[in-house]
Amino acid sequence: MNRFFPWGFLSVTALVFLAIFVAYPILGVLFRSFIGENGAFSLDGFETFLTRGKYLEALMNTVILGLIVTLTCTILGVFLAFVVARYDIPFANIVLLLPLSVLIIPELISAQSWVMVFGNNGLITNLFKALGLPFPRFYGWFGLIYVMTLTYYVHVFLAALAALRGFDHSLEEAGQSLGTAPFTTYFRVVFPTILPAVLASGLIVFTLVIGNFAISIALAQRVPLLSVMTYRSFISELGGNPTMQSTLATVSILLVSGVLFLQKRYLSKRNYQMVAGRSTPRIKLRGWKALLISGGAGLIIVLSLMPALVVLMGSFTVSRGPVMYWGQFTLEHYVRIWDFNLAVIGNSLKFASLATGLGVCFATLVSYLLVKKRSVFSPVLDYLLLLPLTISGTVLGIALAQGFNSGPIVLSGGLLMVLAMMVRRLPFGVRNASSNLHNISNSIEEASVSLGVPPVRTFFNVVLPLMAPGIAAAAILTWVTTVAELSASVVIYQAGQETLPIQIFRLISSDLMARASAFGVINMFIILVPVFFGIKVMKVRLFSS
Amino acid sequence: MAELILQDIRKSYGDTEVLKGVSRRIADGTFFTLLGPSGCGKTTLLRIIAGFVSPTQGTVHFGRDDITRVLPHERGVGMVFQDYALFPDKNVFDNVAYGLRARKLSSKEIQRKVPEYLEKVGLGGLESRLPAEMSGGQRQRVALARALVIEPRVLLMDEPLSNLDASLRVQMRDVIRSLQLETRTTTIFVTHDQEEALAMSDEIAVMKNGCIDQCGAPADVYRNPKTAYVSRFVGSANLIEAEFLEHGLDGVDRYRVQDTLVAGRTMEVAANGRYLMIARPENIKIRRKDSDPVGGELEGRIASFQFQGYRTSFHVVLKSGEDLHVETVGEAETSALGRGDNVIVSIGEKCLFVPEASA
Repeated sequence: MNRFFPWGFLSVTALVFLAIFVAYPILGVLFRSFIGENGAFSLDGFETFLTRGKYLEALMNTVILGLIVTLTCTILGVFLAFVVARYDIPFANIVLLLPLSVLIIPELISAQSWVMVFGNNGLITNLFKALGLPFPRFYGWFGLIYVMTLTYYVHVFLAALAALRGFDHSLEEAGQSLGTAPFTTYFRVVFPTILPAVLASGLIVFTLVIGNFAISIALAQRVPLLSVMTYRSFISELGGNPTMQSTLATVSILLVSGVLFLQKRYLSKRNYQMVAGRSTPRIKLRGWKALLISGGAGLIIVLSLMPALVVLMGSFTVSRGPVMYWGQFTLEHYVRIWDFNLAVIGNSLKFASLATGLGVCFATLVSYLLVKKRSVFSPVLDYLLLLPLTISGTVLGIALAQGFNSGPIVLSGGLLMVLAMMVRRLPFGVRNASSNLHNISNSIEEASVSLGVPPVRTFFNVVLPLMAPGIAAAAILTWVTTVAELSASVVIYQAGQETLPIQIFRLISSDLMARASAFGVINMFIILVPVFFGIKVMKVRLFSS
Repeated sequence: MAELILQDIRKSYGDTEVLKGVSRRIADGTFFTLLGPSGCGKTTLLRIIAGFVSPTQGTVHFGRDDITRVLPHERGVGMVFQDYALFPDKNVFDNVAYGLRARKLSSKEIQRKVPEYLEKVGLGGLESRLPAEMSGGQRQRVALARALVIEPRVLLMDEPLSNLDASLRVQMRDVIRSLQLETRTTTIFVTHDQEEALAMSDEIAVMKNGCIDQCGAPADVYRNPKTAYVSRFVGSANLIEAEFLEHGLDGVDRYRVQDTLVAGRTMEVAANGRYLMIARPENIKIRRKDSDPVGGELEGRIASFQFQGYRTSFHVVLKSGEDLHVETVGEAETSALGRGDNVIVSIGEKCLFVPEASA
């Protein structure tokens, strides 16, 4: 009997796919960074990087920005998690919307909305101007830190909240019974146990910041950043010398890989086992403390949800060029989209549904192969699946564009767009899809087989229905991220392939905020529909794993 | 339903030989138990019969059909798993109907057969329950109905009772055995629980290190263990070194055990002449020391005892320092014995002698 077919065959197929579309382009980037203009081995790229001040400055800025935003996100996220877990605050239900807000509001739209509030022609800026007060310049460090913090703190918040909720209150009581005061107990007992979760989420924030493209390009006009510089070098040097693009991309890959390595090395060991115990009783606050704490938490929540509101208002506001006439309403921007730009919506839907469909099928298959049908190919597959995590969208875009523009395999822009969107989400998709798989015992499949159903049909009859919740979560999350994808697709797209985020990006660059807002609202709507459907109708738990 | 023939089954994983040539002919309708500790290869053997593991060497026949290379889903075996392996998203009816649907039976037939088998396992009327809504015992009954409804040629059971609590386990033994007798399905039952094996089987195969050490009817294996290993794994046994003296009449040989003479059957001749005496605890008599020991008797002292109602269990330390486990049933004079009492134990004539190397 042939035991290689079908699972071994499918493993090899998945392996070949990842090798061609992930490993090959990324290795290509690394390789090309060591190739000089004459085609021979050279370290010119790295020499330029290390000797020209602007590159090193960009690297420094990126790392500093990463550290600062990680710190602010940790403070904000832990504070909010602490408040939600400990105190009985009036708007606790809204807090649960926060992780959704990050899903629904793409980074670019978040950046855009804050520019509309604090930017050159912003609501608040104009208000200050009218009052004759000076307002700090938003473009640069202030704006970057502010917007990134509000965009990324949710990661820390969710991790800290999960850790706090899993904390056994008896431990705290044990601490107190052993003679430490409640507050001291908190720092000695509670804090250390949630620290690994917080640190892990902090590292995720760090990698997100240094790989970030959308917020950086919208706000970092005077602060050179690695991701923006990588993008610019690709745009301006297209067709020219690829050494510098590759070198910048390589530096970025090394930076993220370094962080991931650190995480694996130090954090995976510090995972405390907590016996499920009583949860901490919530304390009801009174007086000024209540006002301060719930006020602070409330502010964070309002600021997190604000971008959606600003963009919604902006999309109905009369504008002439960059000038917004707040208070005067119009449908003009939507009419323009209806008349001229339906193709953009079509592109977004087309690319995202292809990427989601392919990505989810691939993730489902691979997670099944990795969990249930392990073979000699599995470890290689595991490693290849980690690769997309080490590269930012921009670098992936460059890798794919460079890798498949010429050489043995040439792919068209549309296919590359789908590929880029799919590959970026793959590691997460596999994780989502396999979430239920570990709980399905092998004997269930064997029972089905012994009852007369062949292995492949057993997979469809028995395993797939049990995987369904994880697959649905994978599908929704893949959809959400691919519809909002900008950093890779903006590198790859060709005329006629603009997606909603690309269109928004171009309009923001031209300072046409009201029109960008209309696209933004449509973009958010397209994201929201399946999320809403999944949560309300299919009861998918998006944040369980 | 069919006779099951295993021929020189071997299985190796790398350098580790898990099965070292198992051959056995299991008659049609037999309840056959593979008994052994974990790692002895019993589950591997079961999975080879099911087709989930292919043997490195050897053949499996159902009657005249060589099924060694037949795929698992084409073998027509019923299998019951330790963790029940019910399909959690399907209700009881759909679980039991699963194999029938795979066989493309008409829905009329399915509607008739499923309730019939649920009735047999005592779950009539629970068709629409989900596995999560049932107790462990009920789930195992569903699994049993699901495996039997397809009228398998062979029923395979992989430690099906080990996840149940003690009283349920005893109850399920009866359910399984009486169903097996009713359907006359050839059944291979894997367990490490000797009590289960003795209570349910037509035949027991005691396995050790990938081989069948001894095979036979439960009473036969219990009464006539051929090795010290089997004597300890099936029932409990005292093993004491013995020295062969002479052959006796009717196969009853004479041995020296410590400082006394004991007569008993030699199960197998030891190549090196070193023997072990097997004495079942219930075959040893115990009394307060009233005189010096005579032939077949040894002297000792009660280290501890447990009164267990109808029987009493003694831990005796012999004069030589060796431990002896003795059980007595409802005897008035032994119930007066207590800790520290000096006693005489008489080994009796029911003991057996096996080569020491086999231990």
